[in-house]
Amino acid sequence: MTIIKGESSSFFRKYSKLERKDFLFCYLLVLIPVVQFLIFWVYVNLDNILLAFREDWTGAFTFRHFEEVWAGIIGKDVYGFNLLELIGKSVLLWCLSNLIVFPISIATTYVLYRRVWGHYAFRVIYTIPSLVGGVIWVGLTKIVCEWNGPIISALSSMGVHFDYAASTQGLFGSYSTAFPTIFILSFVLGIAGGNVIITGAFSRTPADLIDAGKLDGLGFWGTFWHIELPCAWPTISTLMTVSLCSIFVADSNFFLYSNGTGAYGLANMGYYLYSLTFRISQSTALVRPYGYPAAIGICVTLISVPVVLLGRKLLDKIMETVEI
Amino acid sequence: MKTPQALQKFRRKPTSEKVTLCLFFVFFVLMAFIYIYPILFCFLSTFKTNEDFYDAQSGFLIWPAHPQFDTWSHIFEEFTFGGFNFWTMLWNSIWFTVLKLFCTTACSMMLAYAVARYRFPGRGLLYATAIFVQTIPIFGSGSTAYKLFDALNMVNNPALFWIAWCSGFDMTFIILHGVFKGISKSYSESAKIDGASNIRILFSIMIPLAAPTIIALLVTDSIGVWNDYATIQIYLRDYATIAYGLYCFPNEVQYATNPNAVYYAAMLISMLPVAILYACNQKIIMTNITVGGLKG
Repeated sequence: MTIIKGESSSFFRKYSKLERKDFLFCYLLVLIPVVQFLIFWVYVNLDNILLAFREDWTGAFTFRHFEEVWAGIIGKDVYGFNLLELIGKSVLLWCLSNLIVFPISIATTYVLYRRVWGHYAFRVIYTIPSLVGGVIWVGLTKIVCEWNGPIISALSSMGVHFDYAASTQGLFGSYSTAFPTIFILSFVLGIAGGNVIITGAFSRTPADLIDAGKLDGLGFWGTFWHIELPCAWPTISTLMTVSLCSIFVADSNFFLYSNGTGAYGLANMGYYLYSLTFRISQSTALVRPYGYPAAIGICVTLISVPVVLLGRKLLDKIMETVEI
Repeated sequence: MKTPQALQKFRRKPTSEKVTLCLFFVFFVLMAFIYIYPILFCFLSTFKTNEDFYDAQSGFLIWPAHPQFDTWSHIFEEFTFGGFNFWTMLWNSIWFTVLKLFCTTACSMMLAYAVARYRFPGRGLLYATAIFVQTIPIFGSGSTAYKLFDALNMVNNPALFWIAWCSGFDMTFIILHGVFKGISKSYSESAKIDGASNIRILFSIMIPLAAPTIIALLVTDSIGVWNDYATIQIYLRDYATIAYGLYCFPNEVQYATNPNAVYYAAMLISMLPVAILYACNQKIIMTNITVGGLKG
């Protein structure tokens, strides 16, 4: 092995003994996370790309998996799902949670933060959806949405007509009601989401800034719009960016609601990608079908990266970040 | 009669603000009802008999006509599935939560501390990588990850699976990076002058200063980990936790005399640990979790 003398000595000249000791300490600290990242993120994603272009059985180079994805986009794929519909549902739920629910959530958090009567009790109750896990929440909502539950009974008495499947198997047992029910539940549960973090962001706004705003004649919403929101914007835009990145990961508990079947339209891209992994984990076959999920993943990533970058740019433009 | 102080304050507010607060109050009451209803229903269901669940009004908040109290006395014997009893699942939930939280938080903390407090070659790359991973979505690698875990003999093998949790490039890193960066340099500099080593500075100064945020992160993350059924379902199926048990129980119930009531009682019990943990640390969480902007 040849030691490049010049480089080595310049490194030793550039940094003192104490600094090199610090470097060693730093590299030891980051060693485990970096090695883990290289194996479980870099390697996995590179392998994912390779698998998408490989035959599962022979390992030969192929575009077959992408042809299967295309077939799934224009019609039904090998598992009977239309990928465009799955993407559409993911986007629809994302739009609901970020463009409708999230702004409402910010407003409600602000009102609670400004101490509406009973704010402490409401704040505690608002944490229930985040404390209760998906399995429990699905179990609880399923029974409320049953054929003999309060929702169908109340709506029926108001004259709302349900089809035979819904009135005998509940709201999750019918194609016409299953997805709309999830849509409404996402709205209801989403309202409380981010409450803790946003309250934390509001509470860090300097009190003298608010007092100065009051002296300038800012009212309840004026203070919110001109002071609290710009101060909390880094937190809010970060939450939105992270949520944008999980657009095709979030399965909105479809797996649990449909018992893993995706029946009655209870499926989106997040559900589908998870269910393909689940299917592979259950398989006892000698060769497992890794190529198709990898190809879907690449296609979905190619769609979402420009959207996310555009979204981040938009978020930066919407409001100027205020450094406190 | 003396008017309460809150009411006096409310009267002094402008009319538009009064209307807004009243409208929001009604909204909050409605949402509170929606959130509490299923929990109350769950509690009442634990006293129902098997027949009550097939009643035409079983989903309503009605105290059963013939309440039975056996469920709570038999819950620990009857909440079983596939050879797992309640205590095994509870033990699995505990070690799964503790180990996963320890690995993820410790690795994120080490990475965040090094990147935020020291200048060393590669520091910028590590920070940029963390931001990239958090903000650029890459999907569909779940199956490929399973392939790797399977090849490394990590599936159903907690002795090796913990390595998968040693990732540092996550949201915890971003939060802790902000915290460590915000701590004044004078603390570490004066400790260094006094002869403290890097490790001593980390453990005796930096971690105690960042402790409230670390505790807040541990508590909030513990909720997700405690309720995580997906990791168990795919990677650690022989180590069923309570969350996974709740997923499987309705389909695989074997010995319960009143399975629905047992199911609801188990739900309530599984909520308790995280609810208590959260209630005890609510103030710390509220004041210590800051998510800054993502620059880069």
